[in-house]
Amino acid sequence: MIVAAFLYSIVYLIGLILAPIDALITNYLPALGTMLSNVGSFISLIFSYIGWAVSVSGIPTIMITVIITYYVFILTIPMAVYFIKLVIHWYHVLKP
Amino acid sequence: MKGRMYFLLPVLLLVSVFTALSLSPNVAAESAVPTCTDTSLPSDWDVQINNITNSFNKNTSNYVVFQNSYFLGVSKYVIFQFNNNSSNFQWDGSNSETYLNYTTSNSNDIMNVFWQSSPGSSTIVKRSGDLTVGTWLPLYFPPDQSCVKYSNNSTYTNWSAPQFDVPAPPDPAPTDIHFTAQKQGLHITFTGSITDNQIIPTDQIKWQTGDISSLRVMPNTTTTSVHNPDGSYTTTQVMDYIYPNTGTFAVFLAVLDSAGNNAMTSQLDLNVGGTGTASASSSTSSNPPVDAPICSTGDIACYITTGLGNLFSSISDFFSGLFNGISTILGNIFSAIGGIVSGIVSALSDTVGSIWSGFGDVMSNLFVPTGSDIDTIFQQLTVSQHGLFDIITAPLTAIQTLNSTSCTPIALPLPYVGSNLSLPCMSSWYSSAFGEMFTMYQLIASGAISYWILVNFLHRAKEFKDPKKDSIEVINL
Repeated sequence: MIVAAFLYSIVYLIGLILAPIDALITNYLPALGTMLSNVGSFISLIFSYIGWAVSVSGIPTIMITVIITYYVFILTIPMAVYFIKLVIHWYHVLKP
Repeated sequence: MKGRMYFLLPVLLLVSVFTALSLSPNVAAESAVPTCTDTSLPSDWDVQINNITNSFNKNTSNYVVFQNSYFLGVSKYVIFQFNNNSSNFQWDGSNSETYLNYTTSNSNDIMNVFWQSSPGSSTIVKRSGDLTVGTWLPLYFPPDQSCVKYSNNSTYTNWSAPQFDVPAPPDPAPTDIHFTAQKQGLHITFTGSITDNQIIPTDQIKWQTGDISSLRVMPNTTTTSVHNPDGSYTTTQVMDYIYPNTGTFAVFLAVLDSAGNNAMTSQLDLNVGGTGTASASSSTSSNPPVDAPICSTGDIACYITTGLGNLFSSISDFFSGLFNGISTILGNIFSAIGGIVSGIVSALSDTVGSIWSGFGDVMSNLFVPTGSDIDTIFQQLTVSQHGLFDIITAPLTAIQTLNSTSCTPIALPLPYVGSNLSLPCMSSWYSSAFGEMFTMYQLIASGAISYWILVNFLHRAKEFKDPKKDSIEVINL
């Protein structure tokens, strides 16, 4: 649940950043927007087979979740530490 | 030399076995008609059989079911349904067919006779309609199935352990027999038609194809029977056969009586090769082939020669079938691969065309903007789920999908085949196919993954504590 919420949050934030660019492309380059949408649809189609691929491997879904959680943890903790250090660094630089 | 002799021993053994097996149908005697060993009935049985008067009486059951019986041209389960407990059966074995006579003391009783494709099936194949008192019904018991089981259970599950002997009816010769041959090169489709006053069991229809000189029951045949308005039965048997080579072959279609003798034969000198239809009329052969042993008793040389011939013929048939099967499978595989490659090329072609078309539109829109004022753009500042967003967030979406999705069966349309390639969720299939083995596999896989994650996690924790190997600097507040 926590991992899912975390992923949703990241996807939403990226969506916020990309929204103006998407809107610009949709309005001024509609053909490019259509092409990108088709590529996105193709990717979504590929992703729709992920569940079947997991079932072929025979690995329990709980173990898939464990692997994802592990990697999310491993890859995000250093990033969080880095951001905390960055904030502290800025504080030291900007403090009166 | 000695080694070669040892090598030949199993070959000789195999030849002997094959020879014995291939000769056994020819030299063996006709299988005996089964005899019912126990015709007594349990005291609580509802139907009482009288073997002397060929009759049986029923007490309280409203159903009597016969298994392995022919009734009005259908070899199915015949069910007699009564609506009065005092109704009785009687049959007369002196007729050409075994007739059933329905007798009752109450003239208002009605008996239904119907038959079903399987015991307990809800589908009634045919129904005789309501029968009046004294109606004679032709019920034919095949000679090789004279031990007829019967049941008094409406669900037909309570089959009688004891069986009763049914008198074998006389076996008159058919009145007409003929066949046609539809030629398509070496592939011949034979359609035989036999008219008889009674139903002809399928195991008594035999063919001699000419390339093999024995009268035999052919595999892969389709047999149907119809009851003609004049009371006779017409049995049609369709048989496909592929000859090894072209030439003229003497083809026989024969009906054998209960003793295994030819009752009537139809003959055609078939010229195999080319196309067209050839037909053989009834009884054109006055000297039909006899389903008798090929070799006379004690003719060892004939046994060996015939056995070796049958052995090599069997080996040839085996490899011929094997190569035909492999050729068919390879043909299907190459056809499927061709279809898939063609589909991929077509899809790529469409995609490239679409991309080039898109770039053309992009370039034209760059120089001739078609958008409205800037407010419209900012009104659309929402998180859209398409375009650039989908591509950039694809890895995250993949992880998200991997974490949350469940399996759905896939149906991929196959080009040129007109059907879908159905890929079911394999977990359920694994469970049903491997059972506990799959559970063990899942346990072992889970254990291995857990162990690997734990080891990696401890390793990283150790590195985190070691300042020399720490890629993440300790926070210096």
